[in-house]
Amino acid sequence: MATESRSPLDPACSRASTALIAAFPRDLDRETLAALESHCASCSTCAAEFAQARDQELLLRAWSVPAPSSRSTDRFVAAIAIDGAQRAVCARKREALEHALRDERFDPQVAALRAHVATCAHCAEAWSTDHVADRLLRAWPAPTPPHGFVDAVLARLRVSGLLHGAPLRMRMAWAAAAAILLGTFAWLGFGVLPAPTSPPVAVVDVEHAIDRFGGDVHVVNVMNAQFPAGIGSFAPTAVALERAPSQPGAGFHRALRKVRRDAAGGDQR
Amino acid sequence: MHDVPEQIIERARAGDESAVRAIVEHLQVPMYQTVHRLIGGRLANDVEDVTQEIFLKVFRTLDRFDPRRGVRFTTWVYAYVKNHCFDLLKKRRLNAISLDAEASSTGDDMQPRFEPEGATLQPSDQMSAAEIDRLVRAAVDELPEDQRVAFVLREYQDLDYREIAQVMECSEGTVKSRLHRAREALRQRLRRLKV
Repeated sequence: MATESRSPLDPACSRASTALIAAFPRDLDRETLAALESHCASCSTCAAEFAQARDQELLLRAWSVPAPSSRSTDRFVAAIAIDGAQRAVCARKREALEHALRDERFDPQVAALRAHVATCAHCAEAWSTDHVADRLLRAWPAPTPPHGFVDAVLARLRVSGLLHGAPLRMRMAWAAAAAILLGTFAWLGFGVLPAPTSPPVAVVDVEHAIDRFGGDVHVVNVMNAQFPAGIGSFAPTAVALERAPSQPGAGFHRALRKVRRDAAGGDQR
Repeated sequence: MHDVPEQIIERARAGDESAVRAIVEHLQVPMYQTVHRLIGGRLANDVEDVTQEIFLKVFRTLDRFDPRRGVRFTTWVYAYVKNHCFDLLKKRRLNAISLDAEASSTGDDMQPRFEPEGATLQPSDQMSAAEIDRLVRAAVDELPEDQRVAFVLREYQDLDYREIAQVMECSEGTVKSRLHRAREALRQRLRRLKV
């Protein structure tokens, strides 16, 4: 660009140049355009710049762009309408991310879902608020069972007859073995141990106590109870007390009262 | 939570006290806490008794448990927990309605309604356990029963979708749907408290 006629210090040239840099001639306000044209009438350099700017403007404005196709138009319309639908999509994405995170499974979509939640303003805010609520839910305390709970359950199971010290079949086998052994002794007439002269009330009562209290009442106690006047002489309730748990609960006492009532009433099961 | 070994269950079936004790000790805390979370809002004083009754039911019907059906023992027990708790709530609800029809205008559960909108509680990291319990309890108690069960079993007992579906006798998809609705409902209710 020729600069012989332009003085770098010429304020008029400076203003003209500034105006032409800032905007196309068509965009200049009337006052500025009038001043520029007036200056260009006496300044060939600025006049050349002005002419060049006009040519560029005309060239750019003549650049034609094809109109969008109907498909593009549809996409634009859909994009405008997407705001309402986007909320539902966002909610589904958050839900999917939640499930994926909770399942702790590796899923290539998790990264994409995380990115969406991080970049979508609506989801990011909802996610952040939800996390606060989730923390509160996770912090919900729950008490532990009171002391003695297990013993209380076992006591109720015993009273219901659902609990035995040993399997029922084993107890019956031991009782049968004891009866056979006693019968053999009596038949052989060793005379060491007197044969029972009455129905085995004591045995039944001890069995009754075993049912109620479980525990580790041994077979030998059953045999001893056959001979109340002999080796071991103790009432079935005393046997139960010896084998009772160290801190019997309410269930134990209820069962004990029942055993005593049964024994007093002659209930031999 | 690891499951109860099969041999322990077999011995418990036979009435072996040590095996029964092992099972009760293993399950007492999760069962007690689940019962507390499901019904503690309405029947706080009955949680211990209810849990004991559930144990009795479990051991009375222990013969019905068959591991070959692909159900874990703990999952099988949770089905008892769910059924017993909601049968109880239903019974109490019906009794409450029949005894005092004027008590509840909606005929709904007799429980205090959730905090109204605009409550000014502001949580902080120093919230007491009692306060958290009050807030979360009020929100959870408002959930429908199916959503409440799914949420409690998933969030606090770590059951997976398949196990919850077995407890609730529905599909895994239904479980996911109930869980999602439960979480959304809880978050909304907690948001109202500016949590």
